[in-house]
Amino acid sequence: MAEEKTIQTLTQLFKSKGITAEFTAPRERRIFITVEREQLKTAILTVFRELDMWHLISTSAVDAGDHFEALYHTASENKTITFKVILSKEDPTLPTITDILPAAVLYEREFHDVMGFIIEGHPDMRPLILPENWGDKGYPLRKDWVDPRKKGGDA
Amino acid sequence: MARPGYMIPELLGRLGKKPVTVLYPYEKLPTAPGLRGKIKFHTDKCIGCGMCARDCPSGACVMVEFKGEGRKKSPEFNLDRCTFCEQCAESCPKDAIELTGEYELAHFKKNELIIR
Amino acid sequence: MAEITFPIGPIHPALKEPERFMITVEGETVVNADIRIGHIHRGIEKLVESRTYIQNLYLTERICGICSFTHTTNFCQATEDILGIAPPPRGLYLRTIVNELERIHSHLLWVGVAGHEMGFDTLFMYSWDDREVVQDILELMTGNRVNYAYNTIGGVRRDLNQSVSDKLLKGMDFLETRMKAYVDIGLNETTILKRTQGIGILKQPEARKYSAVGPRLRACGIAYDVRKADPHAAYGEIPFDVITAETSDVHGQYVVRALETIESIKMVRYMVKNLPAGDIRVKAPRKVPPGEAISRTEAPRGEDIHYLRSNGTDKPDRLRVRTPTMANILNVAHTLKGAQIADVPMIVAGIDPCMGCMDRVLIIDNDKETSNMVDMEELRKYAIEWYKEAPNR
Repeated sequence: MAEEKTIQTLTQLFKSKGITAEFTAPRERRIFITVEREQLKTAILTVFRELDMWHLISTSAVDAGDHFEALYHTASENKTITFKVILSKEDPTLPTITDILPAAVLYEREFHDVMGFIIEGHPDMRPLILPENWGDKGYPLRKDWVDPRKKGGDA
Repeated sequence: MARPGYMIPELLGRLGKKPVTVLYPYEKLPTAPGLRGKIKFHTDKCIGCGMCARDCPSGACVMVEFKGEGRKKSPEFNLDRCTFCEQCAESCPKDAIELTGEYELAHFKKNELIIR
Repeated sequence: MAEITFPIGPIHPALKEPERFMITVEGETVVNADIRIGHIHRGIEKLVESRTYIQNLYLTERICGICSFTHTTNFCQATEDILGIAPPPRGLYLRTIVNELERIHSHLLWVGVAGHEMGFDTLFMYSWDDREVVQDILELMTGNRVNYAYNTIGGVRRDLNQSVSDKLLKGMDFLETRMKAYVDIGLNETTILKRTQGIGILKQPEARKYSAVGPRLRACGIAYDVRKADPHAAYGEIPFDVITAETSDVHGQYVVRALETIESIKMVRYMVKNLPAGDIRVKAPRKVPPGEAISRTEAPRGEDIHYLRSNGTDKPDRLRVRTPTMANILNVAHTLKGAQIADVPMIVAGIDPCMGCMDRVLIIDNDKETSNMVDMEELRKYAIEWYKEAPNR
């Protein structure tokens, strides 16, 4: 399988650079790489240089109950590679990747809007989806979020 | 190559044709045979299982108490909420729900849009 | 000269991402463009979590009014991926046929919208008239003109019978001659050339930098198509070419879209002629085991992605939707810089967003601190007049 070959190459490359990562390939053309928050940028750069990639297709923020997950979906010519960062509920901070992938600028603002991730070093952290007067009404995609209208406030 | 008036032959070709639009409601365009329109409910086939209400994506189909005999509950279709997706007809194990091709659903009273 | 800032938007009735461009102009030239989206954010990603998979099918269909089918395809594919079921070949072919028919109708719609924006309403009327043919085919095949409700988890819901496929092929023949005429018009008509050539240029490095998608990317000469890169449904078995253009401007996008439509017509014809026999769907369980899946499709406007996480119940845990316009807004903000005000509608229309977002324009004069409302219609008229004064601008 072509994915296993890529994983082997990447594992060796990551080892030489001192990056700890977990690889899974649930089906053809899909690779998930779980990396540490501090090594996210190096991991993305390494993979992008190795596979000659440029395309950041999307990001997803997931509230998985006891922890958060930030996913960066990238694509090469024939693969979809997802970088997964696991964040604790107490400290959902992420380094910005806009310096290496400028396309992430809107997605990172969305991260903050919907899930309350704190992006360190982002040039422009205005709300993206939520209105400017949203204030402290919480982060809507967290599982413990309650609609302010249900609590008697205005939306 | 930029050429002014490139569309003129095209325009002349359209001159002899009659307008594409029709004078609704005096004239009506034919609809496709499989068009999903107003719901027809065969109450005699219903067993009151509630599968239609369970799968309805828009809350148009709700189960209400049935006054007649044979079952306790019966669905009620609120066409003002219906998205005409045909999921209720697909979920129905007894084929009691059918979508007709009727698409003219403007009414003066909301009651007329509730099918029991 | 004093700089003036005016927003375009944000009212946007149809797309998930309504756009507001804060545009700073100096004289006639745009010096800066900023994006503010989310005016009518509908919270679909949150709503998905409280509905069953079957109900979500019809919810994801309503993410977009024009490329509704690509969203259901994505949602079904992601769910099927987690469930580990594969639709039968006939179901996949039918799914691909409707996907391509949707591309034809969306691209024809764009030709009309672009014609309208450049003040060429004849093109708008004619292309929308021809679009009726493909809409009628879609109605005949699926039972509706816009939200088809054709996809289901495990296949499609209606089979294609002989009489419909005959009509389909007849319609495709008609559309092919019409599309060839539109390509011809696009390459030769003065109005189109003057309003699109050299406008909204996005160079290859910028296109890669901002991760552009769809016809916008292919108009920059990058042959990247999800149908080839990540063949979903039946795309792996169908021969087709990825259309590119080298001009990188709005005219390049016109050419890419028009030629892509002809390519789609050929694909539909191939699929109808080689339609496998057999079932159209397999039965899918209501409960989906825990897992995650990414599904990618090539929507008419570009790449569309759904990320689905399930938790073992009949409701998804998380669905993330990235629509093509979201990916293309960034490069629009970039290409607007240095453009003329009169070209703003054309550049924004170039990526094929929903035109509703451009309904309202507010012009703030910094010097006088007054603001007056201008709607998009006036801006369009202004653009037409501006070019009429000196056609060689």
